[in-house]
Amino acid sequence: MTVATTNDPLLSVANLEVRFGGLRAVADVSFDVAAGEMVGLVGPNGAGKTTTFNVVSGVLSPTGGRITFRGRDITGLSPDQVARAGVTRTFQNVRLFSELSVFENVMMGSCATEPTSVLAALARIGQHRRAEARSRDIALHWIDRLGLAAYASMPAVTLPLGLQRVAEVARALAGQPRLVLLDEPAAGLNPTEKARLSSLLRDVVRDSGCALLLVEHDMPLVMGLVDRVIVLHFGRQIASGPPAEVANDPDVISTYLGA
Amino acid sequence: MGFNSLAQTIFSGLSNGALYAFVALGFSLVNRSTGIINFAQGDLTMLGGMLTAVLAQAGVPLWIAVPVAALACTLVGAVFYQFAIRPARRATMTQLTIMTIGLSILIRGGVVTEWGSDPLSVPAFSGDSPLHVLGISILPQEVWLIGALLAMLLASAWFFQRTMLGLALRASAANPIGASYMGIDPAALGLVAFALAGFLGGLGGAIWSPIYFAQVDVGLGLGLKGFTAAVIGGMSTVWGPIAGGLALAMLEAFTGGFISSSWQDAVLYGAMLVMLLLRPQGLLGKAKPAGAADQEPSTSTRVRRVSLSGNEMGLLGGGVAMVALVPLLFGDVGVGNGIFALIMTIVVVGLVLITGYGGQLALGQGAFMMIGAYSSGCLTVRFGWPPLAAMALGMLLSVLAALALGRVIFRLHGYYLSMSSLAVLMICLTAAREWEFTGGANGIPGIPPFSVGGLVVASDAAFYWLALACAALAGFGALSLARSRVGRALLAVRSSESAARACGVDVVWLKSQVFAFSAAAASLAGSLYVHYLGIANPHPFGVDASIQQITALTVGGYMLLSGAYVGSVVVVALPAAITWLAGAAETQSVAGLQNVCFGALLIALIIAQTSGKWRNVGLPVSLRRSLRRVPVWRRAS
Repeated sequence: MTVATTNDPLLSVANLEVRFGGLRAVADVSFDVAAGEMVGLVGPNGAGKTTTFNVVSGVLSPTGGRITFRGRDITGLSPDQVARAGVTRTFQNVRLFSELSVFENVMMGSCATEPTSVLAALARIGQHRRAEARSRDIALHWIDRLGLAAYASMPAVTLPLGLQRVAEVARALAGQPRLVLLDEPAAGLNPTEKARLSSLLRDVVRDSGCALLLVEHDMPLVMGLVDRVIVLHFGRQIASGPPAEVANDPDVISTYLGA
Repeated sequence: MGFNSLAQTIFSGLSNGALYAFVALGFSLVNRSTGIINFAQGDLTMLGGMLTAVLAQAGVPLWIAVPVAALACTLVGAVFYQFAIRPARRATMTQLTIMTIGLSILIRGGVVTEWGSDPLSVPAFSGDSPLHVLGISILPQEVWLIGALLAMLLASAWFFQRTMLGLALRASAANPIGASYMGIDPAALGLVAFALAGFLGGLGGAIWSPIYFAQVDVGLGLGLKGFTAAVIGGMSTVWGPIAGGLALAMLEAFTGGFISSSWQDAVLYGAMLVMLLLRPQGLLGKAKPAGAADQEPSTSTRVRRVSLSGNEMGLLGGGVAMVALVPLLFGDVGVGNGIFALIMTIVVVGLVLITGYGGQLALGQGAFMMIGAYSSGCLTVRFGWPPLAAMALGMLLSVLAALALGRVIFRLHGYYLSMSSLAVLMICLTAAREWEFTGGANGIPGIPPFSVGGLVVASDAAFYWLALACAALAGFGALSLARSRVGRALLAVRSSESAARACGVDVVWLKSQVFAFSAAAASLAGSLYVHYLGIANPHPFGVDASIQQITALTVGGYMLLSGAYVGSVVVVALPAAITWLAGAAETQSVAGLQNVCFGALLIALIIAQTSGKWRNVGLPVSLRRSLRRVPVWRRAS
């Protein structure tokens, strides 16, 4: 069912099904994401995009199907296990830690790679010192890289929305993931902020080699950014391919234009 | 066992169950509409009984006394909501729950001061001669109680299903923000919920009091059993608490009948823990839909962080130095009280992390103190272990117990730790009293003074320095935790649990580890306590001690480790001051006055800290102000 490639895909979603009682929010969705690839998940409201997202990130357990990440079955893992496996995410309604500074928020990202142990912190053993040093270094790196240096010591919630989204991206990247899930990264941003975010994402993928899977309503942004688009409609996948190709697909056009 | 005695056991369970159901109904009403776990529910019920008894003894006819008692409790609930809960606008759920603890001991203290703690008898509504039905003897009063419960049940079913106010309460419980957009005022609903809870408590207590006696001591037990009933039955429906109350009373009756009445309570609270493990939504409750866990709690995100600057280190050092001066300034009295304050400090330091940072109200630290105390006691006296080894084993056992309990409790969303830790404490208290190995109520006397190697800590002054060293160790250990990635992760979880999990934080494990740290600290404190007094018995580790620890935490500020020292000193000094002020008054009313003071202090402090009006009132606020935010990271600019 997947496109035959020489390498195994990074993420492989096979025959995913999610039921809420009698409602099938997602029915038989299958797709792959290759390493370093940018994939957009689009579709009208209620198409099952967010549900798919929540299943991949471990917030929901699917009622059927299988999710494989780097050859490992991650179906039904909890969100923190998924993060430690190498998939981090951002939220549609930004969820920065309101009691922490921007810098501390980004440092939190490295909980995916570094242990958080009370015993180690109490004894101040080397493991703990090294974990803190590595967290600090990687947070510094992404804060510099994403242009947040001037805001690092500010409480995260005082930033404007555009910068809060960037800070969330930095936090997700600080976990050194192979795949980042972005849940409507452009929602609520003005055109300038959108353009800036999109060029930032492009740079990030180029630099870190990390793949992106994004849910987004802003079609021009998605079409201009991603390598491949997957279109969902009523919980089913109706098209998949490069943006230019999908934009001309008759099924997709009828879905969006209601023709 | 014949049919008759079986039926009799079931029936006597039924009338107790009706009372538990009353308490549980009040619990779930407040919990469903405000999210608060109302610790005062049992004491409101007790108050209803006491008022009825006092009025009846003053010659007021019962048909007036009972409604007056119920209405008085309604008023207490309403006044408490209007003038305590409502002004505390920025309070976290933990603080609101602590305020209900304040109300609980305020009621208890007031009743003792006013009417003493002896049981008062109340005449039955319609005579004492039992009715005989199918060979079971039934007291008329039991019929009254069950009848009243049925009436309340029908009334609440009608209220929730058929009235606009009931609909509004349900809507607000499901989605307070959405409901407020529809014009429903959540504050008005909170008032209604607390008033109704007071009414249910008062009425239940008034009708129940002729069956047993009205006395002050039943409040706590009733509250815990009511909560247990609500957990067993499930709080999401009206029928849940009722079924839970009946199930609990049956369990109680059969445990008393077949096993042993002294282990009754331990079995009941054990059942609650098992229920939380296996079926947290209760027997009749509905499981939350799969996506529900993703919702953020509406309160508790509002807390502003007290920044962890270099100043906290200085303040903590200052706290230690201040306490170090006590023996010089106050002599022997200072040393004796100072040792108790330091031992309390060690416990409160653990609470700053689990309750202040972790947002989990731990009320059963006495259980871990007992593990430490009895490990030290048993091992040194019976097996001749060196004190240090015994103390270390106690801490290890406490850590393991806390990790095990944490695994069960922290999986659940909501505020289950408060009640279940209290339940664990009650189980430990029963076990210590009933088990021969722990010496029963007499405890284990003859515990040797603490010693390391050949060095014996014999004098009070020497023990003071030992306690100070332990308190400093605990304080600085907690500070390094708070400033590390552990403290950061705790704050992150409190802001947004879902985002913290998405960062890779194993929330259950994190909280369990921090709970284990607080347990180790409490265990250390327990060991020190028994080495100082030379005897281990259950008395000093009961619920009163938990309330004192929570008061110290509130006085010192939830997130200030240095505040743990200040708070403990205040809590130890306050009763001494009250006794001194009260002069030669009899001890009982002094104990009552202490409870009144602690209760009023808790409520007033939290209002001061969270109302936003009296910002400069109270020690914690001014201490907080003295802390200026120092950025963790300066290289950016």
